[in-house]
Amino acid sequence: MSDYSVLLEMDVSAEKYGFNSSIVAAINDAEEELTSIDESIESIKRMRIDCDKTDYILSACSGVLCGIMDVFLVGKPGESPIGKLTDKWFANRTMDFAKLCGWKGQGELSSAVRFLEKRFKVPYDQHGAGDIAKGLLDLTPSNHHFKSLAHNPTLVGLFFSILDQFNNASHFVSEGQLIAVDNASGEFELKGNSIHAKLVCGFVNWFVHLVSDVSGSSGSKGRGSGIPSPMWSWVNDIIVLKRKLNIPTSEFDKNINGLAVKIFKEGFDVRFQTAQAIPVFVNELIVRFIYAVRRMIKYFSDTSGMERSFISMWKSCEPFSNPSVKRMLTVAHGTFCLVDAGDAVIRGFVAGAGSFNICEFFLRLNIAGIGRFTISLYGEAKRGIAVLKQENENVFMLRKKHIIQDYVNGLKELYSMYDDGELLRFIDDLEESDMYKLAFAKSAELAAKRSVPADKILKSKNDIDDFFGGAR
Amino acid sequence: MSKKLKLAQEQAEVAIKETNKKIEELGNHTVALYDSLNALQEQFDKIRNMPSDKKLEYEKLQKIRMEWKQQAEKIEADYKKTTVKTAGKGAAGVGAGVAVVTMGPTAAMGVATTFGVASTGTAISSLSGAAATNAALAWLGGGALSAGGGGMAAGEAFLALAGPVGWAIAGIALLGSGIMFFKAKSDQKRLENVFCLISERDKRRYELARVELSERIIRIIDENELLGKALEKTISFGTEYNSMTEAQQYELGSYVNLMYASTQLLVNPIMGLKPNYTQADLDRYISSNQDTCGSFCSEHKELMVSMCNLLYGIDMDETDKKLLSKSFRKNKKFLASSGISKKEFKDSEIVFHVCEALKCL
Repeated sequence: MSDYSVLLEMDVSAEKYGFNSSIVAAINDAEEELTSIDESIESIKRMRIDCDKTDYILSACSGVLCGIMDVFLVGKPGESPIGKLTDKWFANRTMDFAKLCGWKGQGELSSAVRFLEKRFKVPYDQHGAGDIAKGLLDLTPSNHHFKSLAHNPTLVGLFFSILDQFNNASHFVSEGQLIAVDNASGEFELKGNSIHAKLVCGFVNWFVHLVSDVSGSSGSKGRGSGIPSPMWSWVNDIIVLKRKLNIPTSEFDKNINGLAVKIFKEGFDVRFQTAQAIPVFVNELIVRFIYAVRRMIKYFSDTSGMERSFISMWKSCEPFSNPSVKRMLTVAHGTFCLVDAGDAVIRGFVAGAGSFNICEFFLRLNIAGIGRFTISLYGEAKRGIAVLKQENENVFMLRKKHIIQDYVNGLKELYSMYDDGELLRFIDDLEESDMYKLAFAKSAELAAKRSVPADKILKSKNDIDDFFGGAR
Repeated sequence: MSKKLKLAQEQAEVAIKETNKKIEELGNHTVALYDSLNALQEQFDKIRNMPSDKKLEYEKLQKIRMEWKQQAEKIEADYKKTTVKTAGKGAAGVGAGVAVVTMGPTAAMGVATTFGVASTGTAISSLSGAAATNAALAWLGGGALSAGGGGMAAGEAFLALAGPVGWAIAGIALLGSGIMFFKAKSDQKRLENVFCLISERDKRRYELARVELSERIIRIIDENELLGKALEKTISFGTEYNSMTEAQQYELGSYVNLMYASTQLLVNPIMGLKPNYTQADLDRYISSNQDTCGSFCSEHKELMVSMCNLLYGIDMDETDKKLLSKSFRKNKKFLASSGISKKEFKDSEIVFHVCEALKCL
């Protein structure tokens, strides 16, 4: 609030007549309205992108850097330095979890997995090695986690896991078909005395079994097949939903399902998906860091020491909820995807030796990056539409602000016109024996303030004498 | 009509009603102040040793004051006759005159005659007869509708309603109908925004007027009391100026200044009720832009002034101006009330001239 309003408030209490009170109240109300309009305009401004050339260049550079990291350090399953780290990390977490559940072993992943599988038994763990499913479903130890619905870390996976545990059954997706195997595990019985208890047990079994399988099965040799990535499991969900809704599955569904199984067999599981997410995450961190640092430098150079505060600094450089950092992320993730997809295409052609090897392409394509970029694009589109709508509102608000400002100016003019309380006190002054001259001067000032023509106002003793002597 | 525009108009109408209540309140107090001022002046006259020519001048002034009072009464009588006539015809009658309905005619007419300004910018107090009646009613808002005959369409009163109050009621109702000529939603929205802003501006003008009227009323009440005290003291001093003490003479001088200052409470205009744009403003614009504005502005001064008052303080971009111009052009009622043909309206680029004229203010 301006100094002017402080002045007004002081006057209100001082005035005998209480005048200006309605003017001051009106000014205060209008100022409040102006503040709220300013806030609305500000909120619309906040939706605007405030990035300069350097922001865009730095974001693109971050994308390229992380893209290179993805090409050389993530690559494809089996040849990935970062993948090896994530494999190890998952193996350690599986053993940690087994220890929590009572496993006493030391450093042997297969023992920990076996312990968990025995402790939290499920009926749907056919892996195709030597059982009936091998012939019927082309089930092998390297693809059974993908084909078995209950091994999918999705809601559909959870549903089929609990269904299978209640019915002692297994459900598989193979060649575009949903196949159920009854009495899958002769001795299996879901624990729990009530439906609720059974549901809880079913959920725990599903979750622990996923944890035990995330680094491969107990009988796995080498890296083993983990659990499928949620970003590819949806191809199973599509087939399941279509089957349940009696919609015929298309050739495209079958092909994409076949491709997903193929790349899963090549080692594209949750562990590798996590490895892919690392450069995406690093890209995210670098961009947000660049944004925050650049804004912080700007804050310190633009704000004087007296005005600085942690809150205002945080407001100016927080890298989370503003459209500028989101735009920078779109650029960074877009560049990252460009580098990654470019590499995947080239390697696809190289591996295809003349034709395009689609499996190689998808093994190298960073799905996490594509997903993140898609989210960014969706956000950009949503923001674009909102900004377009708000721009019109903004124009209206600015015009309304102009009208209210005119009104406030009018009120201020009124304030100065009617600020005559002190002058009207000349009547009181007249009661004092020695203040009659001062009182007279005030009365002349009052008349002038009220726009009485100057020649009519009595300004001196002579004027009074003339007036009453008939000379005026 | 969109909810936004409807709400904006309703708010403007509420502000008008509130302003009218204040005008009525002011009218009720002005009479007492008028009497106090007269009583004090009479006492001063007893003291003053006026030469005969000065006395004559003073008597002339008193006569003008009397005429002012008579004129106010005449307008009131005219108004009563008109409303009886229109009511007899079974027409809308006073129903259309929002302002007049809510106030006692005597007080309102007194105020309108004192502070009112006709659409051309002329003070109503300087008009006489039917012109003064119509101008006063128009100034009060909507009154001209009933004065002109209950059956008159809003559009026909377009020019008569150039006073400050009438605009928001009939002006926007008439012009707002222009929105329906546009099929594109974005165009409709733009026009609606322009009309919303006009209503918003009007609302603020009435709020400004209401605030000032409140201040004026407080002063009239307080100063009426002060004038009473001044009269008492003046009487106690006797009528022999030269035998008074210096202090008493100064005191008398102070009371004279008070009398003048308080008189201004009756004649100083109410800021929010003054037209934003007057014919004098237009004349200045025409004389300084003779090359660009051609003969149109000079021939349609009344329309130009009305349009300037309509669009005063409203920011518009080129698209808004084009749409507004088109909406006027397609509005037959508006064209009929303005006495201008569609072609003439198009050729004249009136909206452009209005915007230019407003820029020159």
